[in-house]
Amino acid sequence: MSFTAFFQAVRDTQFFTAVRESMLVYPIVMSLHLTCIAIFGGMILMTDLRLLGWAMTSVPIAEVIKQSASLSGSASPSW
Amino acid sequence: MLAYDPATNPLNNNEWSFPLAECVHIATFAMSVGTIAIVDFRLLGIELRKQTAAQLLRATSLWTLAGLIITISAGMVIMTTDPVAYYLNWSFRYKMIALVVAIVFNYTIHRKVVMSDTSSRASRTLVALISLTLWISIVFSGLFYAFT
Repeated sequence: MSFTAFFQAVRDTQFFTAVRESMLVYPIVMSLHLTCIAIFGGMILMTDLRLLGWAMTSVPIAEVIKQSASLSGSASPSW
Repeated sequence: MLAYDPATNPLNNNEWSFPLAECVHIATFAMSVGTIAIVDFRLLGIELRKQTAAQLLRATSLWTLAGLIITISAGMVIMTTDPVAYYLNWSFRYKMIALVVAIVFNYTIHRKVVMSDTSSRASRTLVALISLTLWISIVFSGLFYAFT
């Protein structure tokens, strides 16, 4: 099965057709998607700024990464 | 009679500038809402518990402000593509009102409760929930504009 045929089959399922044609479900899913991008994006931004030494320099890097891991999804350092 | 014709807007006359403005808008609102959410999650006791909320606010405030300035500027550019359609849309109207309320709330009550050493747990929780509800509803209304 080619990729195109596979994606077409996904598109043709009753469930995803209903989602696509819905008034509310699609924008709700999109909004949740963007909200979660903002939340984990903010966490990753602050972690990256700490790595650059531009923010929260009084807190050790490992500490920032460890504490924000549960929401940002970044793995806890094992070293 | 409209003095301004959106058809003359450069953003409506090439393929790249509108998506570019949207990308800037989304990336920078993620920056401001995300950094506000860090402080709110700390107020709720969910994240970064070894720092105080006041320390997190000081670390994030510059990035929140930069994000807000850029995202509102990009938003105004996007609005010029069809100002009347935006103005007539209930979702967009809610978004503008909520945005003003959220910004005022963020720099007054929110800031005061975060910076205070004596604010009660209940007031910190309430402020965090109001802040998260306002900002997340702004994201939702922005999306709903495109679909309603």
